[in-house]
Amino acid sequence: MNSLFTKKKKNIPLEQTPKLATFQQLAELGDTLVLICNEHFEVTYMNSLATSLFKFNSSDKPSIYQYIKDIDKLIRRASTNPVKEAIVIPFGWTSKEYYLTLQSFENQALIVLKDLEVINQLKQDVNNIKITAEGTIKAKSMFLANMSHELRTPLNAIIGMSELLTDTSLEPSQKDLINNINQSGNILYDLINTILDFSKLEANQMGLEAIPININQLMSELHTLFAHQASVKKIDLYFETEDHIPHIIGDPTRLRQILVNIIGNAIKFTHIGSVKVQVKMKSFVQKNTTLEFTVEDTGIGFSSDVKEKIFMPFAQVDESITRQYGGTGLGLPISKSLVDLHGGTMDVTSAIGKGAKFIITIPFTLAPTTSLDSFIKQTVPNTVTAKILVAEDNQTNQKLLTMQLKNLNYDVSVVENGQQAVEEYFENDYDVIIMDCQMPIMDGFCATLIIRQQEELFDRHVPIIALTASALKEDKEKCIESGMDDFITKPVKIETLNKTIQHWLAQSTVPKE
Amino acid sequence: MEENIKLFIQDMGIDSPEDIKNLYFDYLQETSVIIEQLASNFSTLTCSEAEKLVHNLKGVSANLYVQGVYQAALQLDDYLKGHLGESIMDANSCLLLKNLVNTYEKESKEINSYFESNLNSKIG
Repeated sequence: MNSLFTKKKKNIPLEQTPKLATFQQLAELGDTLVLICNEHFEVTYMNSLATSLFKFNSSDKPSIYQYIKDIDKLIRRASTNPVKEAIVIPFGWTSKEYYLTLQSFENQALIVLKDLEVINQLKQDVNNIKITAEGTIKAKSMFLANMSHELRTPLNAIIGMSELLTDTSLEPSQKDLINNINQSGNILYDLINTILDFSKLEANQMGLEAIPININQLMSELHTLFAHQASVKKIDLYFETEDHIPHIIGDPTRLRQILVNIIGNAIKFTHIGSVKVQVKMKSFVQKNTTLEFTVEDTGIGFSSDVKEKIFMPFAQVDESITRQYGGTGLGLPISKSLVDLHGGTMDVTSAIGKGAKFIITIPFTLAPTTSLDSFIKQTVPNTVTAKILVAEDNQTNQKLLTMQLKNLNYDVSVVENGQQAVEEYFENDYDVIIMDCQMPIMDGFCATLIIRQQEELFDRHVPIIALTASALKEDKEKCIESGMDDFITKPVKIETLNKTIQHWLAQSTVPKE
Repeated sequence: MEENIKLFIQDMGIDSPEDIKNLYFDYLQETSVIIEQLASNFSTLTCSEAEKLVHNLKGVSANLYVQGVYQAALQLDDYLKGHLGESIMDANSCLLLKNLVNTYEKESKEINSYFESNLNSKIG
C-alpha cells in the first residue's frame, strides 16, 4: 500500500506541519469538500463542509473506501499527475455526482470534491449569458442596419432634391437658401455617418475591404481636399510621400477616414505655422509592408496628461475647446479604433502651445500590380465570398454579369424579372441583390418595394444595387426612393462592380449565421 | 468598333477570347431580333411597347460598348419616354428609328469584321 503514495521525505502528517493553519483556511474557502487520507487509507482530515456532510469524526479515522470506491486505483494514477474525473458517492439509498481532484504526496492523498450539479448549473448560467449577449449584439447590429437605412434614405432625398432645385431657375436669394439646405444636409449626413461608424466599431461590426490602394494618389486627393481650408487659415500644408511607396491591399475608405480625421483636427487647431503630412515605408518583408503616416502641426497642442482623454469618445481636452472649436469628440476615437482594426498603432506627442505629432503605423499586404488584368487574376481573395442574386431580363447582360461576378469569386444566381427576384429572396439568403430597373412582369422598383416591406419578417436588410442605363438624376432618385441602396450605370465596369459590392458587404452589419 | 471592343476587354474583366466572342455573337443574335421587331411592327406598336424594346437594346449596347447603337437607342428612347401616351407613328420617331436601324446594321458588320480578322469566326 505504501508504494501507491509518493515517497515521503519526513514522516510528518500534514495536520502537524506549520502550514496547517494556512491550509485549513484555504480548505474552508468556497463550497468544495476537502479530505485527506493517510497511507492506511484512513481519513485524517475533512473540512467543515465535508465534516457536516459525512458526519466525520477525526478520532474515528474512517476508511476512505466508505466514500470513494477504487481509491487505490485513483491514488496509483495520481502518483504521476493529479487525477481529475467525475465520481459517484453513495449516500444511503441515494448517490450524488462529484468532480474529484486527487493529488498524492508524502504518504497522503489530498482529495477535493466539487458538486457536479453546481458545476453544471454554472455552465448553464454561462451559456445563458452568452446567448443573451449574442442576442444583444444581434439586436444592436439590426438597430445599426435599420438606423443606417432609415436615417440615410430621407437625408439622401433632402440632399438630392436640393441639388435638383439648384439646377432650376431661382432668384439669388432662393439659391442661397437652397445652398444652405444642401450644406446643412451634407453636414448632417457626415454627422450621422460618424455616429453610425462609431456605433459599428463599438459593436465590432465594422468590416474592411481588401482592394488595391495607390498611396500616392490617396495623398494627392487629401492634399486637394484640405488645400483650400489651409489657405483660408493662411497656414502651410505639406504632403511628403517617400519615393517607391508600393501599391497596397487595403480599405481606401477607412484609411482615408483615419487620415481625414487627423489632418482635419491638425488644421482646425492650428492658427499659425504649418501642418505636415508624411508617409514612408517603415518595413518591407516579402509581400508585406508597414507604412508610417505622420501628421505634425504647429497648433495649440495639449498637455501630456490629457493624451489618453483625446481618444475617449465624446471627450475633448476641456469644455472651452468644445465651445470654441465644436466637434462631436468622435473623430479621434474612430480613427484609433480603425487603426486598431487594421492591426496598427497610433501614438501622439504634444505640448501646450507647441503643436502635436500623430504617428500611425499600419501593416499592409502588397498589391501584385495595378493593371486591371492582374486585378482580376490576383490571388488575394475578396474580403467576403458572397452570394449575389442578379435580376436582369436581357440574356447577354445576364451572361456578362455572371462572368464578371464569377471572376470576382462570387456565388451567382440569375433571374429574369422582379417577380422571380422576390421569390428567390423568400427562398434563399443572398448577401447582395443586383437589380435591373426595367424588367417584364415586375420591374426592379416594384420588386425592391416588396422586398423592403418583407424585411422585418426575415430580420435582415439585403443591399440592393440598381442597374441602370440612365445617368439622369431623376432615375437615380427613383432608385433610392424605391428602397434601393445604390446604383451602377451601364456599362458595368468590373472595378466599379466589385468596389460597389465590397462596399455594401462591408456595410452590412447583420452577422452571418 | 475595334477601339470599343478593346475598351470592353479592358474594362469589363472578361479576358477569355472565346467568352468575348460568344458575348458579342449573343449580342448580335439577341439584338437582331429586337431590331426586327421594331422595324417590322413599328406602325402597330404602342409607344410604351416600343420604349421597352428600345430600352432593352440601349442597355445591352451600353454594356457591350456598341456605342453607335447605344447613342441611337438613347435618342429614340428619350423621345418615346416623352410621348408614352401617344401614337408612335410620327416623323420624328420614324427618323430616329431609321437612324437606329442604319447604325445597327453598320456596327454589326463592324463587329463581324473584327472577329473575322481577329478570331477567324463569324456569325452566319
